[in-house]
Amino acid sequence: MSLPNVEIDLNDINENGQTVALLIDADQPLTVGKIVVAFESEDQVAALAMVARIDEARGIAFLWVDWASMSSANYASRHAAVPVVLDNRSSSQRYSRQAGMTVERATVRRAVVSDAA
Amino acid sequence: MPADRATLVVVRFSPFTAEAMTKSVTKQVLSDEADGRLPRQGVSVFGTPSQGDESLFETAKRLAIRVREHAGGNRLAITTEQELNDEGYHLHLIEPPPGHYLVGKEDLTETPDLAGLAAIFERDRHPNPAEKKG
Repeated sequence: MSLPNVEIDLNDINENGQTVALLIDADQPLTVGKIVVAFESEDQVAALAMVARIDEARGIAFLWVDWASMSSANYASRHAAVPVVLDNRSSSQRYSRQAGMTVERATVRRAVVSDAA
Repeated sequence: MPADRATLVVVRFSPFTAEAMTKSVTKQVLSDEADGRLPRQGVSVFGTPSQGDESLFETAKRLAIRVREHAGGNRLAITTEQELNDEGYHLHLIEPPPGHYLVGKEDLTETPDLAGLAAIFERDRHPNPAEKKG
């Protein structure tokens, strides 16, 4: 089963470092902590993201997007069981730091593999 | 084309269509409401002043490299604050992250003309010079 795919705007970022997506733009139900593929169809790029928060009443989700993994290759494989061609620029020590919260990318990688299993 | 001294260079990544930017304004409003803020009807862009004899593209490249930890994509559109102002749009600095702006009307209480904004973003579009190769 593939990860949920959610469309985002590549410019949208709030003061907490999160990117907002509409729940209706996700192809599966989202839950907090879920790893998803955040994609943009006009540019045909995609990246890993984690659902940080959901506001069901307003129909939106707040995502931590791993911008270093944003690529065309990930867009092409976004429906695969493990869709992400991880970014070779980064060492395992690379961190995505957002609003005081540090997300170790290796944690995201493990979560992707776990979700796909 | 060299940038005029102190030109505020503005870049936007995809999407560029009016339809997609309408959705972006909706998300901005909904997320502001969720966070207890007054809703701001604007479209996200990034901006930075030009330095020295930089061309618009050189400034845009420097900006794209600076913001790639939290924004990016394969292509970007380049404009300036002056061009936006000349067509009735205003830039509102919304930090963090550094250099993040909303483009909209003077007070962000109404939706700006997004078809006009899309037309501006059509004029000077390039492959993202900050994008990794391969």
